[in-house]
Amino acid sequence: MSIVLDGVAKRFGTAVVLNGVSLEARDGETLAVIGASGVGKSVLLKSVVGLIRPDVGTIQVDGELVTELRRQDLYNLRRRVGYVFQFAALFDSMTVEENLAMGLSRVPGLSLAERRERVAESLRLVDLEGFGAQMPGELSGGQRKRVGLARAVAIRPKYLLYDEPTTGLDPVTKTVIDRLILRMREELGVTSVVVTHDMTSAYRIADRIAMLHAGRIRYLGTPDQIRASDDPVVRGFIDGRPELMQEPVT
Amino acid sequence: MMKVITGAWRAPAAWVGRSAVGTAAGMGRFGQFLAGIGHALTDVRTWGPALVAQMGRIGVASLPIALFIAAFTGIVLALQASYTFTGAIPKYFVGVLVGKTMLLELGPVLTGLALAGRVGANIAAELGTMRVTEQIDALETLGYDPLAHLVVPKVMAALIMFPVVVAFANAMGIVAAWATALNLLDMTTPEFVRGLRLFFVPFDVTYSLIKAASFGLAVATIGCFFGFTTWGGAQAVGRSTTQAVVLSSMVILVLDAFWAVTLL
Amino acid sequence: MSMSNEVRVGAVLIAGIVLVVVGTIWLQGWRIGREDQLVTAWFREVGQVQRGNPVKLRGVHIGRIEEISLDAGGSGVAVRMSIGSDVRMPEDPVVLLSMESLFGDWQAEIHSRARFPLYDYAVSPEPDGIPGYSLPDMSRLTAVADRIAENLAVITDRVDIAFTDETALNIREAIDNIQRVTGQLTALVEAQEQTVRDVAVGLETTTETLQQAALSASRTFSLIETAIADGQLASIVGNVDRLTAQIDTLSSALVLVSRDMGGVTESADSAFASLHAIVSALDRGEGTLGLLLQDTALYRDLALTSSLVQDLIRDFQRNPRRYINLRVF
Repeated sequence: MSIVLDGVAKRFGTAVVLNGVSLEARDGETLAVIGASGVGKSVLLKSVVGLIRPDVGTIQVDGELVTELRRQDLYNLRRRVGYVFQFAALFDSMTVEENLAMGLSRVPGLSLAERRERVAESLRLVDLEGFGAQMPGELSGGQRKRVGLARAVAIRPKYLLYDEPTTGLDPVTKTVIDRLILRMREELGVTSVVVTHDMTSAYRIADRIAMLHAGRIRYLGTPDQIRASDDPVVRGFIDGRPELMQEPVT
Repeated sequence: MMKVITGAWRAPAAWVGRSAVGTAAGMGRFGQFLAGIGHALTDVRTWGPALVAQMGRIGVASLPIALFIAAFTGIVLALQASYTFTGAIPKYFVGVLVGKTMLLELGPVLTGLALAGRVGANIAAELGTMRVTEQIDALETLGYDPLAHLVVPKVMAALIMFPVVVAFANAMGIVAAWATALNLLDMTTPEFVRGLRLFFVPFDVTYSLIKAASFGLAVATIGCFFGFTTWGGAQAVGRSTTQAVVLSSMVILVLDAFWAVTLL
Repeated sequence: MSMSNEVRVGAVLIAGIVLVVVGTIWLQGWRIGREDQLVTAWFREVGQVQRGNPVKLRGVHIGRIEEISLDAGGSGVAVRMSIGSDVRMPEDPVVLLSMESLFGDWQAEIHSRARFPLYDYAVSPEPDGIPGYSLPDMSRLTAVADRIAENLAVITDRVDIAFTDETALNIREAIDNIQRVTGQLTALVEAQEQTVRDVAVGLETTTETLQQAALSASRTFSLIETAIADGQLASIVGNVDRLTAQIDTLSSALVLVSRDMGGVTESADSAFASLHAIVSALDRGEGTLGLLLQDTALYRDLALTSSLVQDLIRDFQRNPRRYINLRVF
């Protein structure tokens, strides 16, 4: 089972954001989607869980057509998908523990004790034991991201979607997060899609890397392949040379 | 045909067209939003537990400002009524004017406008912030219908608590006017009470509460809508808040006229 | 925190509901915990009376009007009033509806029928129902007064037409003549003072009798008043109408008469001249008349006449309608 996008297009007003994106994240792999800011990476990721409905194209997750699902079935599917937000998106009126328990209270057949156990286990997984009673406002940026990750994995998802997990962090914290992403795959066996513009991170965590450019997948390959690519747009992005990426938009 | 509209006329024409389309689209989004709320109403398991907390925040916490406004309104009403009635009209008509005006108009409308500022802004800012920090998206990914979890409790709380707050405000206004009549206007309690009762019908109270409930519904729904549909950053939250307050104040006045036409 | 919030919300909610219920009851003027008796009064119509208007007995507020309903037969209105159970009704009670003030608020007053016996009370179809009468309100009184005023204006106009300048001149001339004659008569009377004084005594008696007649007349007028109160204002207006017509005829006659006035005045002039001569002669005690005047027989005749007048007045008192065929004026 996997995540499959086929010919997905989305426009906001007159701005075409996605223009026929086809992409597959295979079972058990970590797929990184790279691209410049504002190129539509987050839109792509939100489309996968049905937060944004594409104008054209289909999206399959775990064998179900997200674009066709009825409301309740969509909520059921989301219990199998963990979503890690760019700025963690913690509920700031709740403690860390309550944040983690939010998703769990939607999982049927879990006792209160089991839920507590799951919360503690998830916090341990991101090395934040003892932070349960803190409010999100008291945490640093890196800690918040880890809580966001813990909240996403607390429901034991089959799929994990990361939206810019390392953006705005110092190099050391970045490494910590990257290791956590790797650990999730090892310990939980999840299929992951990581949206990022941080190449160091992408090389470190991804099995394959897809480059989103001008509303389409410009390039798809392993980290080694992309490093060796001579596509000017890919090179321009990797090496940080915008002049290479200038080309007439057709 | 289009070629006829040229030069200087193009900009205003485009503006009118854009505004019309924008308004229609906004109405459509609001309609969708209402339909979503209607659907979320069935999810009592989600919004039920949050209701009491929202009733506290929207209703109980609004009592002080509502009572403050009502007290001064009552005082001013009594003084102005006696000023207007000097001479030919008997004094007990101060009671008539205070009772009728407070119940039918000033109690619900002034409270509604004050709460449009306090509650509407609060809701729009809270939901707007949750929207721009992706907390609403986070709720969805955790399997919650954000309308049921965030919007319905606020709308229900406002629907229930606005009439309660207005009832207290009405009572406060009348008591303040009464005290004013006794102390500053040389009236007696029987005189004032006689005026209060003279033209009173129980429908006055019903009318006041119906108005209050409709104002509550409008303020909460509009606040939630603008908060929910915020798009952007901190500035967008500010814009949503302002729009929510302005629109709900306008809607309160329109509803006020609407009820006067349909119910009186 | 959460618990105390729940408590606060619950308390405010309950207090709000209690406030609304109790406030409404209080503003309606309902009395809780006090037994009331319900009485029904019947009316032909009820003017501006509304539910909730006060019920008074001897000016004291004792209850309120609960319900106003048309009788099933359609001929009357039943007004149901709740009044304190300790209130005792007067003998043979009736209910009058009237304005409480000029601002449109009405009241129901309970009276004994003996106090206002003349009103046309509606008859209650129920044995324990109270007869009632609704007093006319300002607008109806004003309308009647308007019609009376109009008719008076018509009369005034017609009188204006009858009395032209010429008539006035003629009348003045006549008055001058009368003044002259009066002067001469005064002189005569002075001469006959003693006789006249005696006559005056007789006249005094007559005056007394006249006073009694006036009393009788005032009683008659009180009857007329009753007629007005009886709601016969319409017939009054009718009479004024008739009177107006009569005055119309009278004034045409007056116009005719005033044309002949010149001749009359001339004849009056010569008559007065002759009278003057006669009076001078009388003064001197000349002629038969002069002698008669000096004679006591005249006095006796006068006294007799006076007593006859007294008899006449007495009869008038007893049978005023024999002499006056009068409805209003």
